[in-house]
Amino acid sequence: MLNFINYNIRIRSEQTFTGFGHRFLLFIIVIITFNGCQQIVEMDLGSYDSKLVVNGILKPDTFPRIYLSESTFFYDIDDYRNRFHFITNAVVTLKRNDTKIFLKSDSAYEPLNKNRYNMNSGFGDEYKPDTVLVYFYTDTIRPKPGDYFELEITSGNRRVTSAVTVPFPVEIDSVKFAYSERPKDPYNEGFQTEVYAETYFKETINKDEYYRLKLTGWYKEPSYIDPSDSNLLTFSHSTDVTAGNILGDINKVINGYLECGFYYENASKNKKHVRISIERLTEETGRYLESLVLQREHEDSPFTEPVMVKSNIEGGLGVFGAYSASKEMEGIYYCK
Amino acid sequence: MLKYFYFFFILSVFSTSLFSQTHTISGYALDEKSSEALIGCNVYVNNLKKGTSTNAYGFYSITLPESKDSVELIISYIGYDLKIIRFILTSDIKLNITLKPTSEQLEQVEIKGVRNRENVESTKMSVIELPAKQIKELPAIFGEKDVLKALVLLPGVQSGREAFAGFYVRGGGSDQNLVLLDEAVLYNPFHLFNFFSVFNSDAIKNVQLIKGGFPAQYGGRLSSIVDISLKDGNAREYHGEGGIGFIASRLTVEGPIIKDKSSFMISGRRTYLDLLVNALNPNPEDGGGGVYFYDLNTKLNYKISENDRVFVSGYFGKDVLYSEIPSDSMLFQIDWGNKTLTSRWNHIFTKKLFSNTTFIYNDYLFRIIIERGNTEAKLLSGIRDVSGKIDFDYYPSLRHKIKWGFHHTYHTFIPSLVKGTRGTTPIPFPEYPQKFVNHSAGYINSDYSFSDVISLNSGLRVPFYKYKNFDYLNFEPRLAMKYSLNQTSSIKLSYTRMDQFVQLVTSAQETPLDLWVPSSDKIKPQNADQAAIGYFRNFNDNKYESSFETYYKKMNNITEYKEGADIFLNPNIEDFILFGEGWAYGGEFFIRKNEGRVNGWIGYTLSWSMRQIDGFNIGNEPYPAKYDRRHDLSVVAFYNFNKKWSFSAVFVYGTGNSVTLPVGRFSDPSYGWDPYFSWYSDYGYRNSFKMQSYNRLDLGIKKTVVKKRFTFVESFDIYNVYNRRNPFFLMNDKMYDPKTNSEKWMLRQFSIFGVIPTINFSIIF
Repeated sequence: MLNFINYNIRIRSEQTFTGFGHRFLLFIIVIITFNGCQQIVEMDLGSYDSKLVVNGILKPDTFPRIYLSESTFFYDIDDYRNRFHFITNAVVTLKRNDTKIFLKSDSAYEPLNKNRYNMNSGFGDEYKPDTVLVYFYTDTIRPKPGDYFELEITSGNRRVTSAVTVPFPVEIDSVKFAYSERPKDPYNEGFQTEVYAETYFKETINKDEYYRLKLTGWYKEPSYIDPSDSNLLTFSHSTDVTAGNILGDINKVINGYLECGFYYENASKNKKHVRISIERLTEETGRYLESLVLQREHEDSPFTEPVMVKSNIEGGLGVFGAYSASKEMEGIYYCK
Repeated sequence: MLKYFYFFFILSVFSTSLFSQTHTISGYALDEKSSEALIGCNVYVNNLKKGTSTNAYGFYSITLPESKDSVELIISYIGYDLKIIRFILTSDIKLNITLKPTSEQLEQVEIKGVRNRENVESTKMSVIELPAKQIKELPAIFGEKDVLKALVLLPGVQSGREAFAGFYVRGGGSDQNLVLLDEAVLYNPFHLFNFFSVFNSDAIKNVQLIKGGFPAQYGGRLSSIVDISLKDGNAREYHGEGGIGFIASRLTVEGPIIKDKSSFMISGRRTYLDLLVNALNPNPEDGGGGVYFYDLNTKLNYKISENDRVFVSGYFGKDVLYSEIPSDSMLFQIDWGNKTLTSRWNHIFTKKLFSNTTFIYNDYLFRIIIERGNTEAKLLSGIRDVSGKIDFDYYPSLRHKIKWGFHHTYHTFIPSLVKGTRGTTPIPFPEYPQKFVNHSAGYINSDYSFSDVISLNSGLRVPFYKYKNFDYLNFEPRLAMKYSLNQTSSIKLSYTRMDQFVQLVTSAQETPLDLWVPSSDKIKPQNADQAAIGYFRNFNDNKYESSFETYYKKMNNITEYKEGADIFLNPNIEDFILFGEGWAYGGEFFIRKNEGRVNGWIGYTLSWSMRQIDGFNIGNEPYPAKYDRRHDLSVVAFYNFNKKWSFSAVFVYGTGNSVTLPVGRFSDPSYGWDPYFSWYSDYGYRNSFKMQSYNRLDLGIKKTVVKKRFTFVESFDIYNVYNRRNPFFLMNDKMYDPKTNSEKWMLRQFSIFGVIPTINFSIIF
């Protein structure tokens, strides 16, 4: 049984009144508005012990990268340029089949944004080539589907543990493209059409499992070649993590089916190519990623329950997870 | 455990007192001026030191042994003069008793030992009645006297947020309260986004709150029954009452259709802020809008014969929030409202057997309407019930009452119905099928006094529920026992089991958009077991009644929605529900003085309410419910200074609501390294923080002037006299901190109501 601490909340005398500008609102509104006020509440939380935050998601045949940082007190000064508090002197070990591997600290520049293009904004929008220097722990082992890994990290007197089994991939059966039938927006007529990549895969879905559909599209016309990308990449997009859970539409997933909608421009009426793969995530990984998205979506509303991050790190925060991707399948759709 | 219950139950039902020769006195207790039936009026046989009370229709029946000595009946009711009737009982008597309302400035005639002792004598516990008159005396925000806000001043009943009419009973959820208006269920008993209840206090006769020890005739909710009765209408004279308030005006008219045979009552009110705002809008062509509500209560009754009486009552209310731009032919409107229709037939089969047959229709509908040009879209959701019930009251002896009955309800749940047209062409929308549910229950309840010391109230309710292929049958034992310690004190205990087959799909803050959903193979019915024990004592010749009750309630199949679940227009909402358990326990102290110039009550509750839901908290650890409130205190006082002036005061204090707040921040690169989008919160355990405590003092002054047949009432209420900034909600926000010359996250508390003075004018004729 957990012992709950009822923290005291102290009100600082500072007050600000909400403004209301409608000159014709009556006395009642004035009363409510000017009585209704905001106050800054100071929390008497005692001390906050920062936690180790782990992000290590394994993928078959890829060197592992374990990012390690620490959390801070919520009400500390926020320096947004330095939000990642990396820890580079921890002892990080992975154990596979009774073999203990000590990971070494390393660093690299990684893209600031995961997706280089925002697909829904169209080609070329929000191109973010910025990179950022990040620190991680790594080794030259290559995880295989079915491998069981135990993670142990110690940093000073803090110790966190976790474990994961790398899942087996699923195979794509077929891909169909469907076009939106909704009335076109009169202000953008002939400009955008939504395409759905309906992807069927050979799997009986377990509701507790998580999948992710990943699409990568490119043009073959030279005029559209992104000179900085030898793969002629025009977009890379993945659906949110989905399963019989919050973000998924259960009926669509149960039968081994995922879809991803995206827009294309009508300017060029050529056939287009897209690479599609399905990633199967461990339940803990899916739940964690899902909770991050949900927390972000709901954090600004004072009237909804906050979403807690579903961590699987014993003694800390974050995720030690794994996923496997299917073989990529190429699909062709036509701009109508 | 159950076998003991069945033993007591059978013993109680089949126990009868055997007298050689008995006679029955039966009839109604009525208001002398209006012929309104008096509910729960105490009829006391002074010779035997035993009494009974009238039922929900004012009927009573007493069977006594034949005697040559005169029988002395003492009839008492809060707010009415005592009445003593003496007679020799040699045959059955039909006796309709009329009581005269007590003048406020007069003390009642002192007759020692005969005041209403029901508090200590009856098996009832965890039941509180509030006369409408007392509710109308309470100071209120914007002067709107509110039944549900009065209930939260009672022990064991907690309010939700500041000024909201929502309430929570003994650790239960807000959807675990069954609110009945003349026996019709009100699924959304609130106006203006829960700021006011739908009950117009001018139309109400009586309010009964049952929070435990539920009699078997009640079921369907886990935590409480709020049984509200409308006035029947004055059967002797035409009367009316109107009032102009801060935000609403109201008018009630009642009178005889055929004197002493049939009467009517009609009562309505409407808010008018929107009318004033739009009238003052200098550019109406640019658009206008507003929010308003109205409600209408009606009741007709007709006395067919001495043994038959019919009642028809209805409630029609609606809230409308709208915005329109006439120049663009654009309208956006949200409206919601209840409609109820109750028709009842009271029949007296014999002097000892009374029946009531009821037909009920109730409908709650929520709509969103969007119109632009020739295009219109409507979303509808709601619930509609058609019910029939029959109840019997049987009085075999003065010591014994038996009640039994059966009811059936056919529910139609309208999850979300979207309709649209462009011109005359329908716009296709996804359809969510309606759900049809049958719900029946049979019950029997026996109240038996084994002696002057021990009484037993035992009952059994058997609900049967069917939705598609899912059906459910359960046995709900009900047991209450009283042990008298002496003439002024007793110990009572009770045990009840309740089932609930409908529940509210709601976000953290209840709104009219919330959806009632039926139990199914995916949503298991909730049930609760509650045990309570109490000490009841009257003081000062029963002028003061007091009680101390402790309770423990265990709730099963309690639901919560998965974090982040989108419940609006979700056809698969059942897949987003998590199940768990809840338990609540505590102690309640209540002392009340009903008579005299100074009267009122003090209620104090010490309570705990916990939840455990698989999927919440690390390790599925239990957590406090949102309205887990350790301390809750209410002090209510009325002072009738003289015929003209009266005063009222209310003080409330409550521990703050539980909230979940972030304690830490961390970064995660799963969705990129951009510091703006990779920052997340580390929340502590769910609901592990308490908001600041809530406290408030309200004062009211009332001036009553009688001129000929008109009574003018001016009331001046001050809500939140000392301008306490009570917490409404908390929100984290990034703000500049001058101390450190940097940006910092800070927790803001939002309050909505400070001090609010209100003047109301009423006229009674």
